[in-house]
Amino acid sequence: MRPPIQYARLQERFRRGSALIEFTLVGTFIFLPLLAGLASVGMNMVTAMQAANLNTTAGQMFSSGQWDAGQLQTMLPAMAGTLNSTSPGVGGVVILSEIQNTSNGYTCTQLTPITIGNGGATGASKYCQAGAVNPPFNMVVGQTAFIAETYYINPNLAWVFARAGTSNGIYEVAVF
Amino acid sequence: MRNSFPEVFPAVPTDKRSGSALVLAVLFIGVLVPMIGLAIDGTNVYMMRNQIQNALNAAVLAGNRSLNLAADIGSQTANAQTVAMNTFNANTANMYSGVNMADIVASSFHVKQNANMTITVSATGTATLPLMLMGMIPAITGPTVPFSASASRRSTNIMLVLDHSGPMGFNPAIGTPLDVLKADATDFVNNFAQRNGASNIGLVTYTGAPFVANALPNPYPNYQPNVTANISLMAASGWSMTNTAAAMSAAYGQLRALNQPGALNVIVLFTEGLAGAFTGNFAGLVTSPPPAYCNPGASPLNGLLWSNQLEARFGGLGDITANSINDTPEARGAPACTSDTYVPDQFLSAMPTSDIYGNSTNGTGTASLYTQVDLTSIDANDITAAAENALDDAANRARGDASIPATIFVIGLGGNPAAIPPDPLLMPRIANDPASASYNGNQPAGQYIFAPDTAHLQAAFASIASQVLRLAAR
Repeated sequence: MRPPIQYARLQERFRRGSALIEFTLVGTFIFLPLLAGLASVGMNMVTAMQAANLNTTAGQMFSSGQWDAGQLQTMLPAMAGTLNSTSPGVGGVVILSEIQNTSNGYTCTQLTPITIGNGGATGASKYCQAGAVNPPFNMVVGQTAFIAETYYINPNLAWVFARAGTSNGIYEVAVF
Repeated sequence: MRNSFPEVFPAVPTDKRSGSALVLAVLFIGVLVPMIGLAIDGTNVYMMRNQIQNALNAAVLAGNRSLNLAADIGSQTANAQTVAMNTFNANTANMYSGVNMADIVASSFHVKQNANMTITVSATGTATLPLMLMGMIPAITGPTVPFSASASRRSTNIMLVLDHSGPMGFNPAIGTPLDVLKADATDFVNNFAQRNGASNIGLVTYTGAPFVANALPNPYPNYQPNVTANISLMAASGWSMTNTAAAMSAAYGQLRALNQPGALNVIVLFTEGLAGAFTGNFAGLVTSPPPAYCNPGASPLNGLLWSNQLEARFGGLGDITANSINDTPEARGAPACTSDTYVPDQFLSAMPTSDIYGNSTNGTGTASLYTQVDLTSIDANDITAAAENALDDAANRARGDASIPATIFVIGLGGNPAAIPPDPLLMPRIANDPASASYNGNQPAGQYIFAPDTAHLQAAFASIASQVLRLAAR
């Protein structure tokens, strides 16, 4: 018969081993996915909010008429903060369009797209394209709508965007 | 059963110890899940709230911009509500379907104009935001968040004052300065029309005499076609008289007659030459014996006195009433005179101390003397000095008016060998440009922009449009 005190020590050793296994299992299948998910959502949220704020600001500045195209080209990248990254492939484009319902129908004009960051996402306006005007709503004659659209991508966060269902990038639109 | 020999038997049986991990995990998850829920739902709610607030801000701005699409406050309100609601819907189209914004409808947008001619579009409402994670627990519902937004702007009245004197037609082979001016001034008007940034725009054209081509009130949408049509009719007159003081007074007279004290009242002056002419009442100043070509008994004996320093010429008394955009009354004698080609020092004893608009020619008015002038010495220099003083006083009176203070922007064009460029000291002074040595902090600050050639005119007009819109926003 094993001395009782030795049996207790052996059981203690087994307990330690099983705690490690439990911790590993719980950590691997519960905590790590949770943390990764949180990080994914968080990073996506931050980038999306930055892009949304930049897009809204761009639209507001454009619609106010207080800044011309050249000034917007200079100011928006400066206002983009960390979105205006110098890392290769990280960046996007802001497209500013103006749609007017004239007595002869809809017309639209578009500024030269404003590049944010170092390359990255490109895209076309969904509202103002060559030969096609797609007004955001039925506008009364004489009304003008100003539209800001932003495409943004960061390859390092591509998996984040993909997990968030944003097709590897962010698209924001604001109508003024 | 009580364990009497803890040193011999283990304190806790093995099967009970293994259950503690499950208990701890459940307890831990009980803490962790709400934390994660808070992190995800909190962030999500914050983003949704941000998006709805941005959409509401955009809606009131668009509604505010649409106000001039209708004439009366009832139609304006209906228009603003439609436009604002459409804009709000467009900006919230990609929101989560669980967001309940039924409280934000067209009637949530209100339009109000106060006695100071400030128009405000405001909106209030609430939205119930869904919880993605914690919402799965039936007892927990999303927050109902209040929203509000408003956008105000002053009613804005603009008088465009455009110089189309002879040198504006210089060098037609390569395109005249007037051609460029007409294109850029048209863009200026269109810019306001597209943004509904101005309530009224009027037009004064001038050479030796001003002509009010578009009087105020001239509201949107009328001003877009009728002002641009008149701009397109402008032609260089062939005469080089530049009666800027009279043009400034005529433009300010329109703002004064419109009488909107709370509005932003703006004069945008374009000139490419030295102000060298003014309109005076010369009654009592005709020498005796009177010359045959002017009736000294006429009262008022109003006429134009002009100088052309480039050619060292001066003359008078020309007619002072322009009958059309391209009329050149200075080519006719004043009503009491038979000709305008005589040298005035041969029949005038002195120049009047003010022009017919009440602007001082010698600094005895509201502005101190700008240029030294001898009213009894009538030559090209003194006529120019008197005309510059008159312009200085006209601008000072317009800016300094207690009830209708005007904000003045000036564009001066250089690079024309057919003209002496605008006075680089007087132009910032009449605009009350903060960069001017004579800047007056008690009067509205404007700006003088010198365009060294026609290529810079477009940017000058665009810059002024931008500043007017900025001043109108509240």
